[in-house]
Amino acid sequence: MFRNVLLGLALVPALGVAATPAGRWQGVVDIPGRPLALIVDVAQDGDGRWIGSVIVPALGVKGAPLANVSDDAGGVAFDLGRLLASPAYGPATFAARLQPDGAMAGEMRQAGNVAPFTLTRTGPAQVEPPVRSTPVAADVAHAWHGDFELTGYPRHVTLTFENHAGGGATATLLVVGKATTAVPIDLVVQEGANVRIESQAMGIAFEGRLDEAHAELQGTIEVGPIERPLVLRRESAS
Amino acid sequence: MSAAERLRTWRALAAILAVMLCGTVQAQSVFRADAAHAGVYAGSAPRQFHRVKWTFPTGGRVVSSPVYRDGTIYVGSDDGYVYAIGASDGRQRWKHRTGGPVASTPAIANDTLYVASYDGKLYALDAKTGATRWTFATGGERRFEAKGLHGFLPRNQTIADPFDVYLSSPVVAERRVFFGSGDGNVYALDAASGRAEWQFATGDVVHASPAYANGVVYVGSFDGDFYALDAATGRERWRFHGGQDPAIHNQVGFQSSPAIVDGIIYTGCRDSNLYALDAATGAEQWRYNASGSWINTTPAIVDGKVVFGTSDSRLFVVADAGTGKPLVQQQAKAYIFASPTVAGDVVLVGVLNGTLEARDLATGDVLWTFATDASRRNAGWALTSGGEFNGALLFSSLWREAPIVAAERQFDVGSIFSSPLVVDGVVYFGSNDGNLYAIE
Repeated sequence: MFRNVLLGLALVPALGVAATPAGRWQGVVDIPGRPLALIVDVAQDGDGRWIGSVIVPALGVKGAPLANVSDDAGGVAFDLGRLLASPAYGPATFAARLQPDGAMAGEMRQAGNVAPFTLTRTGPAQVEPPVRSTPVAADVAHAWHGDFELTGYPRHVTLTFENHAGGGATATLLVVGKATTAVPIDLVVQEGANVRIESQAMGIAFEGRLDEAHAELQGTIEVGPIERPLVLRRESAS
Repeated sequence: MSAAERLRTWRALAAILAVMLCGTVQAQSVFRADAAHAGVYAGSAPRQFHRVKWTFPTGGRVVSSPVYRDGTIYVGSDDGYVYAIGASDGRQRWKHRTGGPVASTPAIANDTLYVASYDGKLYALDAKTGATRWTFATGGERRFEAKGLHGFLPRNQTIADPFDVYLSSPVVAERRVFFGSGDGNVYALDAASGRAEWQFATGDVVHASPAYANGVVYVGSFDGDFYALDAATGRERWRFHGGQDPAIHNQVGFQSSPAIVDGIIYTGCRDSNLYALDAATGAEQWRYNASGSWINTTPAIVDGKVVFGTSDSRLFVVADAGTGKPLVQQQAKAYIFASPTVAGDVVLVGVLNGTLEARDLATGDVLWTFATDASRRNAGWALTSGGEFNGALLFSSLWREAPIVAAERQFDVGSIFSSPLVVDGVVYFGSNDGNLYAIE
């Protein structure tokens, strides 16, 4: 009897911890024929909002942000944002319940497929902060022009940076070839003389180095798997 | 019978005799039904799916297309064997081991079966017993390869193309066997002895299958050129330049085999075009452009129409043979590499998501579909619930072997690369799940 009371007391804090989804969770999604191992970190930020990130070794993913994390009476839900998303089916979603044994069990949906998963809490959350855009230097915050060739056709590029008070810079990228494409830019980062922009949605990136005269960004543009040299000249200097 | 009628009769008989003496393979016993690769079979394919008549399991992927002769189905498998299977009962009659995957479609002429293997040899076998009559060693097989192929990384790494799945299928005419090889050559061998009569060097792998018409052999190469060669001497009559892609070598090369009807050659190309060329001169008549999507299927030609499929854009196309203008364009659920087969008013199309589609020739509408066992299993969610490839999950990286593995996982859903055969209303085709299916 005494032994049972001790056991019961020992379980109380464990059950208490299990009532929150906060923590690092590790487990497997039982995709038929190819189980998918993952690690999920879930925590609350300073404003009490749920945030998280995910590690999927089989997909080469470390610290991708979770989106739409919610906790409702023992039910936990989140999605993977752009990771594993498709236009037709939307994001990969997870819906689970915290189990009496402390596990998080539920279903993953991706591309219309559904599979069960079970995650076990392995420790405190280690949510990876998302990469954020930085401001760019005043002599970068201009419009830049350049040309490159892709699959035998010339393309004209206009890249325009804009700083915003108290936040990171934004950029617009216009590519004029056989068609005119406005490329959505997710990330703008300047580190010293190096400037990088990324469009995850379109798989396009430019990385260049500001020359000493601050008149050119000399670098490369990546369009999917193809990399091409690209020199951008500042509008006022061109 | 008038003198003119007698003359016509004698000419007809002489033509039939000439064909018999030349040993040109008969319809159904060669890739795409005949030496010209029209892809049109006698009778009609079923307009409704009734049942699986039988399934013949092999030990590897069946990329090879089945052929038929005297109640027997012949097919190669990537398990390294050539199989002879009873058409009525699906039982094995014989098998013959080669030294590598048999991703080539057999051709049968005068009771001899000819087929290429990845061991770099062409095999001539007794069609009744499978016994070896002779073998011929080429300079060796290899896949199309290039640095930074398809944008795979690292860019400076030479990468073998996972989508170069076929070997060249032989064609027999004028007592010669013609076929291409990974060593870049087109070969002509004496059909009886296997002695090399000539070889013609192209600039890269030849895995397309030569077609034959009027003393000329036609075939394209992964070097981006299409060749017309004199069947007797191997001398080049003309060549046609397809597109080039020095950046990532994606939009270059003839994986499609040609079809020849009424003096016009129809061939797809990885440069995204389907070309109609004058067989005598190589002059381009028209082209259909698929906007960046490979055309790897060998077109079927029937009643003034060209029937083909595209890869990434997943289109099933019926075009006017005279102009190339599309008459029908419908989207399949996944890439189409398998050459469409026409039997009656039905077109059969193998799709890389592991389903066989039967479509109405006139409208392109789907009459029925059949999903292979592997497609239904959908291992690793290679497919979406709607049957499309699940690219978001499959292709997570372009580095090193990752895209190769992803392509292999795509093919694991029972992808159909094999061109269907129709005999007496029964449809035979191979699948990457290792099975040869007979359905009716």
